Amino acid sequence: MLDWEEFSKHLSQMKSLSDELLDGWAILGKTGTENGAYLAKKVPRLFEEALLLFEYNVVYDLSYGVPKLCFNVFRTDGSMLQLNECIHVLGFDGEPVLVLTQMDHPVLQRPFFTLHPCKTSEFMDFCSNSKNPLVSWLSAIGPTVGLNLANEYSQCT
Amino acid sequence: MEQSQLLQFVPFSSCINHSFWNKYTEIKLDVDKLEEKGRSIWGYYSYIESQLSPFIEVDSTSFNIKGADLKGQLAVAGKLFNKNTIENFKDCDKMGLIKASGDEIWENIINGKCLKSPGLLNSFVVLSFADLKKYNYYYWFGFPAPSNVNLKLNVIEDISGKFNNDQMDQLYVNYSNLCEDQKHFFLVHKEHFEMKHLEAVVDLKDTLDQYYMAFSDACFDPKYSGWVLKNFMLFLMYYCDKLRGKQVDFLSFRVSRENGKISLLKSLLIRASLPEEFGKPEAWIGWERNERGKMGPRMVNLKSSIDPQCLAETAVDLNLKLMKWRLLPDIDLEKIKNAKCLLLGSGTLGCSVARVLLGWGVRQIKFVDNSTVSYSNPVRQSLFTYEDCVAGKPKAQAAADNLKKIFPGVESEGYNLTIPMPGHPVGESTLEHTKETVDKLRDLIVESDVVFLLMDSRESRWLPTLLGLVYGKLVLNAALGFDTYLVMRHGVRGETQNCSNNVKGFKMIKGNNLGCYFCNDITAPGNSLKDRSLDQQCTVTRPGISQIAGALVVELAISILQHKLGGFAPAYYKMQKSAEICEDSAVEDCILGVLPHSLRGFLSTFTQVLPATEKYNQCIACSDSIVEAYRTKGFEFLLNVFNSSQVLEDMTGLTEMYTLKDNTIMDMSDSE
Repeated sequence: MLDWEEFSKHLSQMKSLSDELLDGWAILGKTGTENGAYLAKKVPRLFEEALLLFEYNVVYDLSYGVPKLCFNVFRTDGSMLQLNECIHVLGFDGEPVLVLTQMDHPVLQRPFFTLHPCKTSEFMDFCSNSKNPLVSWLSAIGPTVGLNLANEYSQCT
Repeated sequence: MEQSQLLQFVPFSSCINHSFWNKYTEIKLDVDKLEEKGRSIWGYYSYIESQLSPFIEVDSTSFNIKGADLKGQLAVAGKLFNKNTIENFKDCDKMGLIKASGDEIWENIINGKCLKSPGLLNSFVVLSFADLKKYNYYYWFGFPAPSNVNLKLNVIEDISGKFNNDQMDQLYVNYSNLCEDQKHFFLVHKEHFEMKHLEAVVDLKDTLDQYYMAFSDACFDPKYSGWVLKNFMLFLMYYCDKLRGKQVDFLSFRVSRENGKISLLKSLLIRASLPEEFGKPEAWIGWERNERGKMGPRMVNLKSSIDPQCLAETAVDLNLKLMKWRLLPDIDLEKIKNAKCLLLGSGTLGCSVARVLLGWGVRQIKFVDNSTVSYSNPVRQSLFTYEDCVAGKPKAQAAADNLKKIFPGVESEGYNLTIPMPGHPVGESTLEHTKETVDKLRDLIVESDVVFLLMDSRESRWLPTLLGLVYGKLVLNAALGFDTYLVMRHGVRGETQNCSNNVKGFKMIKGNNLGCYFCNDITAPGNSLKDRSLDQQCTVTRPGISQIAGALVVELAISILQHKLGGFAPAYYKMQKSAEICEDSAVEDCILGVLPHSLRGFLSTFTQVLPATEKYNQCIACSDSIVEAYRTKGFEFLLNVFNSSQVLEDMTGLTEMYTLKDNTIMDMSDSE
């Protein structure tokens, strides 16, 4: 478990490091209010010769008390990929999709593909030695949905 | 490099974030409405390495007064021209539009605004039209640049050939200290790497050869420059007349991450000669090619992600797909989604059934009822509200309307019909109307896949039981007592493949040998009065019981739909008390489990039993003689039955069997 205060603190720390690394993470939403802010980054990527824009958001899940990774994928014309297309792009074809689902973004109130937070708490306990469990968690689960955190982030864990 | 070569420029392409269209739609509907005069927007390009060709991105922040401040991205001011009609969009003078945009850049050069804000040298224009009924968005991006300005290329090489690592580090430190709004174009001293804002060109007029003309590049191809250099040239030609026809050293700043370190290793030194001739550019180019490589607009349909109704439909389907992915990979959700359901009775059972069907993703639901919503209804009947009573709405219509409010993706319809009943004589004056009603009910049944009998009287179930059987539909029945319920599937007719899997302690009845509501009720008259689970008493029930029975009858229907034999699926009836169906029993079940014939529940003891009974050869609704009479005589036969239900007993040979008068359908009360 991670309370909102801790989550915000780790979020800011990650954002500062990202600024140093020019890694493109930004804090959006309202920073003052509880569960009002989130961390966002856009990652352009070529897939089958087409440019796709992955928009990753790290948000806070109030009911589970853990961070949650959500994302949407767009084509350059602004159209969104459907879940089955995402699954294809991420190379999950044929594999059971156990944790990927669609949930409403807690701040934007729009549907985002989300790694379901039901197992996150266990994982966070595992990261309890980390100075920044948020970063530890994100670097571990991010790659499953194509988000690779640069090695330099390990300096804050 | 050969002397004669011209420097090539990689144009920008457009990249639209989904949030851009959301905001665009909102502004079009709420603010701009029919306004066409153009709206200032922001775009962004990145000078950080990616494997992609350079692009300018727009998103929801593009509409803000001040552009978003994001590290690594530079803002570009652009203009959006949103046309009201497709004709205006097509007929718009594109050359004129991009020229106007270019002329504005030119204005900003000569009036000196570009000196303070170098970013103004870059610009873009978007021509668009949105068909918001269909959620079709037509658009065309242009990135204006003068058409006739060329650079003779002498050298293009990595700066690592020119600078050592320490020098590159020094360059980066100075670069990162520049404000983002000065990073578009700036000057770098060739010896000590001091960086100066662009406006310094005016004062440095005579010593400009000591400086690199530097710019942040979005292009990462080592052989080419990004598009932004074109307008930079124009600027230099205007302000630095001594550079005309001369060789100029450009630095194309390209930031990349090398072994975890931010580096300028990929940056380029471009040595090129400016033209001698100079004047205001006559023509501007820069319209983007579309996805087919043609000079033309693009179109995107965003119905699935902007239309709230589509969002709801996707979310409902996705929720069910999660069940498929996580628990039941073999479930056939399409079969459920496409099942056309007819609900006869729109009261407490009808409402419950409709809601559970909605939960399963069923999209086609028709309601039939003959009364209006009364003041006692809404508290028990989950689709109605107090307003419906005040308005005196017909129940079937109110249920259909309210179902759409819950989920607009459903195709629901309501029909105000009184189902003709045995023993309810049809007079001369109502004959035509009765015939129409029978025809309508028959059509509704023929058009559907699953028929639910959810009425509050017993005799009104007779006609749809017969019609459902004749037309080969799945018929399910739910009936309530005060604290008891009966949920059952009617047997089907026809031949089926062999399924002779006997399970020890159970009797198996094939689906085409199962009884209907009427056979079963008559074959089991011995139930004590307290166990009478049917509507034989009246419609006073414990409020929870209709929710239970409504849910069960839908779940039973879904299980039938998922069984490979459908309505022919056998039912198992427990013969020995100790018998259990266990996992390795050779039971013909479906992915959702076993398929009982009927479920009888008793709320007073909170228990449920699963009896299965065979069809009754003298049944007044489903026996062969009745079916045959309907097939041969049609409405004439029905009319006889309506006029006197004695006909049924005579035909099936029941008459002589009856001893208990009060168990026959003729004694049913007419009241509901």
